[in-house]
Formats: sequence, C-alpha cells, structure tokens
Amino acid sequence: MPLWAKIAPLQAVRELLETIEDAGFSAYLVAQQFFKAANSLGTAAAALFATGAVAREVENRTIEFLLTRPWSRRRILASKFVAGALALVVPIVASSASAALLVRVIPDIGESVPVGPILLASAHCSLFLVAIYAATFLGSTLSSDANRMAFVVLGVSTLSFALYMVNEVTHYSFYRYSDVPTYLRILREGRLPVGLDVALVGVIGALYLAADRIFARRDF
Amino acid sequence: MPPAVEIRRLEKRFGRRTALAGVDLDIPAGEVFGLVGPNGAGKSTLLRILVGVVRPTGGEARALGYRLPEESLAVRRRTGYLPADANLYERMRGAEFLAFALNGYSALDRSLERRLLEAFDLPLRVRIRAYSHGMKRKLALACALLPDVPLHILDEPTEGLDPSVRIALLDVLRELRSRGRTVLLSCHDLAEVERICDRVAFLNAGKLLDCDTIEGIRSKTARFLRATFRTEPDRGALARVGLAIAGREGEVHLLRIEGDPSAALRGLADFPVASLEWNRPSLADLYAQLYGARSCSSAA
Repeated sequence: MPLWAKIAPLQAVRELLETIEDAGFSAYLVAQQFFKAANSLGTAAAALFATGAVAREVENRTIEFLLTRPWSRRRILASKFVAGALALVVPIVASSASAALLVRVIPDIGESVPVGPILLASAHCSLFLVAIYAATFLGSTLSSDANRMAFVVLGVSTLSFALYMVNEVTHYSFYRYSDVPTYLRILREGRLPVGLDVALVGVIGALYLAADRIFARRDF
Repeated sequence: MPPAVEIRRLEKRFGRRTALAGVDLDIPAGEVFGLVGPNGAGKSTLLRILVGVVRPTGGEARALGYRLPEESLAVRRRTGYLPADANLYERMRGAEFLAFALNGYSALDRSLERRLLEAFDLPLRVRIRAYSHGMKRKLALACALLPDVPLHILDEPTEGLDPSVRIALLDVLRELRSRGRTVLLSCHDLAEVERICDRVAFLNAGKLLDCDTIEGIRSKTARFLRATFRTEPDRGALARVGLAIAGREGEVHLLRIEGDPSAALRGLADFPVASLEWNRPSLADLYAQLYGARSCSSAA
C-alpha cells in the first residue's frame, strides 16, 4: 500500500460508516453527538473557557483587581474552574438527554435509544472534555498570553485527531479514549469504562492541584 | 498604638531587576501617609506586596499585625485597595461591578456611600465599556473607599480625576483620618501630597531616601530666595556670601541658601537686587534636592 494511502484517513472513515451501517441509529447518534460534535466543538470550547481563566485576565489587566478582593486565591481559582467545567458539561448532558427523548418522538427512526446509557455516555464524554479543559486551565495559570495558549491546545487536539484518523498511528491519539467504539460499548453494556474514567478523574485532579499551587504562588 | 504597617529589610527582585532593595519603614496607624518617587522607584511594588499580589524575595512585612504574604487574605479583608492602572470588567454595569467588588467585606461605610457616589456622579446603570478613563478611576476609587476597614491603600488616587473630584477626594481622606483609619497613598502630585499627608516617604531605585512629617521635611529642605537683579550677578560673589543659583525662570533667580541665612541676606545688600522674596520650602524643593531635579517652585 502506498504511503499516501496509509496516512490518508480513508480507512478510518470507511470503518466509521460501516459501524453506523451495522449498529444503526445508536452509532449515528454516537458519531454525531459525541465523536463529531463534542470532541471537536467541545475541545474548542474547553480551550476557550480555560484560557480565559487566568491568562486572559492577565492580558486584559483585570487580574490585579481580582486578586486584591477579600477572597483567597484558592477560592477564585476554584470558582473559575467549576464555572468553566459546568459550561462544558451541562450542554453535553442536556443535548444527550434531549436526543434520546427526541428519538421517541420522531417516528421515522424506528429504533429506541435508552436514556440511561446515553447519559452514561455523556458522563464519559464530559470527563474526557474536562480533562482537556483541566490541561488548558493549568497552562492558563502559567501563561499571560491567552491566544497563544488556545492555539497550542487546539493545535495539539487537531494533531491528535489527525493521528486518530490514520490506522497505523491511531494508538498515539488521545481520542481513542473518546471514539465511536468506546461510546457504543457504553450504550450496549449500559456501564462506564470504570478504569478509564477513574484515570480521567485522577488526571483532572492532578492537573487542578498543580494549577492551584502555581496560582497560589505566582506574582502578577 | 502599633504601626499599621511595619516593613523590615524588604526586598523584591523580578529576575535581574531589583524593585525593592532592603526598605525599612513604619507607617503609623491613623495617618495619611504618602509614598513619593519617580517612575520605577518601587512604590507600586511595595503597595502590591502589602495586599499579596506580589511576594517579597527578602525581608519582612506586616500590615495590621498580619504577616505578609502568609496572612495576606486577612489583610485584604481589612483593606480597601486601589490599583494604579488595573482594568475593570467592561461587560458589567457600574452598579454590578460595585456589588461584585464590595462582596466579601464584613461591612460597608454607608455614611460615606451616598456622599461619595453623588460626588463622583457615576452612571451606574451603564456598562463600564461606555465609561471614560476618569469614570473608571472613580468607580475603582469607590470600591477602595467604601469598605468599612482600618486601612486604605491607594495607588495614584488622583490620576485621571477632574479638579472638583480631587477636592472631594481630599475631603474624604481627611474624614477617614479623623475616624482613625490609615490611608497609604502613592502620588506624583507633590502639592496634593503636601496638602493631605501627615508623613511622606521618598523612594528611589528601590531604596528609602527619607521619611518624615511634612514639617520635618520643610525644616530639612534647603532654603530658597527668589530674586531679580538689575545686572547679572557673579556666581563666585554669590557663593562667597553663602548663596548658589539653583534655577531660573526668566529674570527671576532661585537662590539656595547654603550657609547662615542672616549672613546671606546681609551679603545680598552688596548686590544690585531689584526684588527679593522668601520662598517657603515645599515638598517639591526636597524632591528636587533628593532626586537632583531642577525646580523653581513658587513662593507660598
């Protein structure tokens, strides 16, 4: 097989279409809802929300005013982290639940998708995106240039997505933890990939603790 | 009463640049205290250390009895702070921003609130992005003065304010002092510092040059005479009677008395003096002495 054929994402796209054909509407829902929408737009949103946490405040010169309020730096940072995480998670959960409910209303689909497993899938997707958000959040506490941070994160995500689409190098991509087969497994088995999600929670916790420590000691 | 602020051998380096080089300073409670110095002297750095924005690299600092930076949160809960050039959140309306900024203080000075907001005349229902620079400074100043706290730290408080608001602000600072609050401010306007401050510290290149009351500063300042001569005086002859030409404005010579004032005045009788005025020493005169700036300040 020529090199261009090996690195072109044709095989990955073909496999995706075959999965949709085999698994029906569930796979289509997974591909649209989680793999295409949440992973791409969600990653962009995660980068956008997180870079605004600290780096954009430094850039806009609002950070000094914020830090001189009668609040601890820990409280400031935690509030920003939670607000950004909720802004990511709530739309994913709400759209997932509404998609599952709409299936029952639209008669042409002819299939039913259980709400419970859909919500589990959205929980896994949320953890994945919050992990990306936490990594960007850490970068934001170190940086004073929000746009550069956003470009770096989006660049890494785009590269990882490109790697995912090429079979020979897909194992280098972090999107394999949030792809169609992963979500289909959650839908079929009705349970989360516990080991993976515990690891994601651990990564989120470690990244946040590092950000907290840096923010507590940084001069502005 | 213990000092409101105690600083011992305070140092701060940003990479290779030294912002503060071992400053020792006590700021008495219940006074209006001025910090004066050229740009880059370390004034803002010192103020920012006191509220925990910046951590010192050496020495010790305490504000209201709390150690810095370890107990900076306790200091901020008892301090109203005005940054020199920080931006505000422009999407907020003025009233929203005020509520946001004052949230967290245990009490607000309600008696001052209405007077201050009337004097500042801010459009609080309008978004801050529509505010002028002066309006933003007034809003930030309100956030620093309205908390009912023992310490107010104001970095360049009169910058961007029109004259009527400056007058109102100085009245407010006098009132705060009368209530026993401590006000620490940095200011480039020496006339205002002289009008309002009880004590002044001069900083340069991160070092404390002098610190004294306003009267103490006047007594240290070289005395000056303003004189006009019918013919140009000889500098050597002036030096022999203990006078030196410190500056000139047109025909008016500013003479610095370097020896005994009585002998200098007697000596001037031998010169073709057209007019003579005694120049009351001012903060600007000491500033000129300390920093080597040419000044020709007007008589009091």
